[in-house]
Amino acid sequence: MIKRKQSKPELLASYSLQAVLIATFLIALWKQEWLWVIGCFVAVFIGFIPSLIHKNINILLPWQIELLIATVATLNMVGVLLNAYYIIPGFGELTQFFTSVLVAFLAFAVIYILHVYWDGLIMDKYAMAFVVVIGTMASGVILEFVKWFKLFGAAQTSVEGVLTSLFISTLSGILIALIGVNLIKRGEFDELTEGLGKQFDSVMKQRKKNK
Amino acid sequence: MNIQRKKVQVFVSFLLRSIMILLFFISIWQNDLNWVFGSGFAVFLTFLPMLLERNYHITLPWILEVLIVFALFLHIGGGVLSMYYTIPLYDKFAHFVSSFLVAFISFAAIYILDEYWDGLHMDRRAMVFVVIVSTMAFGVIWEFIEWGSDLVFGTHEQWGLTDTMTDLLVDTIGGVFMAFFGSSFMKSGKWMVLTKDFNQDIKSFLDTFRKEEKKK
Repeated sequence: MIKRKQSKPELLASYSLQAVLIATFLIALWKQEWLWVIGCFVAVFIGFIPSLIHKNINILLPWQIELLIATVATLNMVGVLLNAYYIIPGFGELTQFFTSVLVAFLAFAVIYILHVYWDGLIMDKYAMAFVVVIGTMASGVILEFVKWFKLFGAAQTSVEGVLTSLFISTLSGILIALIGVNLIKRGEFDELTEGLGKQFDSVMKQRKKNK
Repeated sequence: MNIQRKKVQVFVSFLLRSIMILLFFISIWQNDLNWVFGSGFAVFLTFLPMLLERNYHITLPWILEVLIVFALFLHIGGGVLSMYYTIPLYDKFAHFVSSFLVAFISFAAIYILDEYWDGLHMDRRAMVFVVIVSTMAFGVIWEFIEWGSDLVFGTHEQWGLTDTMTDLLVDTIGGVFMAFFGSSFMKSGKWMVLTKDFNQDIKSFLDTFRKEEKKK
């Protein structure tokens, strides 16, 4: 894939994501939160290494997704490492909202790309919206399982907390489904996922060739 | 359909329906209005497959009809006879059967849309994914209903954190189980055999519907 020049918002989103991940890595190291240290290291590694090894390969996410990842990572970092989940009321719900928005947006982008570039899926935009909503609800359940099993420093306090989180996930899914359908109708979703879609397409073509 | 199997299906459905009608009268006798309404509505739902067959000539796959009646029977029996509270793991078993039923309906719906609607074509692996995800989402909606019932009617449907989480886990397992069961049935061609009459009925129903739409 040929590297293309990134626009200002793309560059800003990309740099903010990398800056947040490095900051999280350093704070986690200082706080001795080893799971976060590993997580950040892997994220930074995934972000940087491909372009270091193959200069002509560039995994380019839509800048909106990069910005959302940076926001979610920042909120989680502040929540876990600076105890904001326990100090600031509603902080957990806010993080949950942005996490679900990110998941829903990613899900919509992936489904749309599969619909456009893969023979195994053809989907009407409303069916996509439906799958995005139920997918976000299911991701909320998985997140609750993570908390239930006390993984990554997360914890659950009450059944009301679980249900509120699931409710926020559902609302986020519905919100992104509505926005996504609207963007598809206006033809803007194509532009948004074009870069990632073409990369997926070239990978698929390469796989077919190798077979 | 095999005549022997049809007889068994009719017998099982009849037996479960009869018990549910009995449970309806028990709830009236107990003066438990929640369950009078619940069991009455459940009995009505068990007759939906018959109504579908009579009014639209759509015959549900026998396993689906038995599953619908069995899931409703478990729920009503659990409530009216308090088996949810007296029999250990009864609640989890009811959740498993319900989520298996939901996953079955999801699988059948996706399969039909894939066959007869231009707006959807799905690879088998994508079907498995959507079935699991939709069953998990159904589990969430179920928990919302229980939550709402507790808030509005002051019931005690939510027993606590562990109960809610195990419910969601059982729902997920039910979905996963049915998704892989359905996928392997599709691969071996058994799914086609199981839903043959149903598919033909849906096809002729849609053909009639489209013809009528064209006339308009």
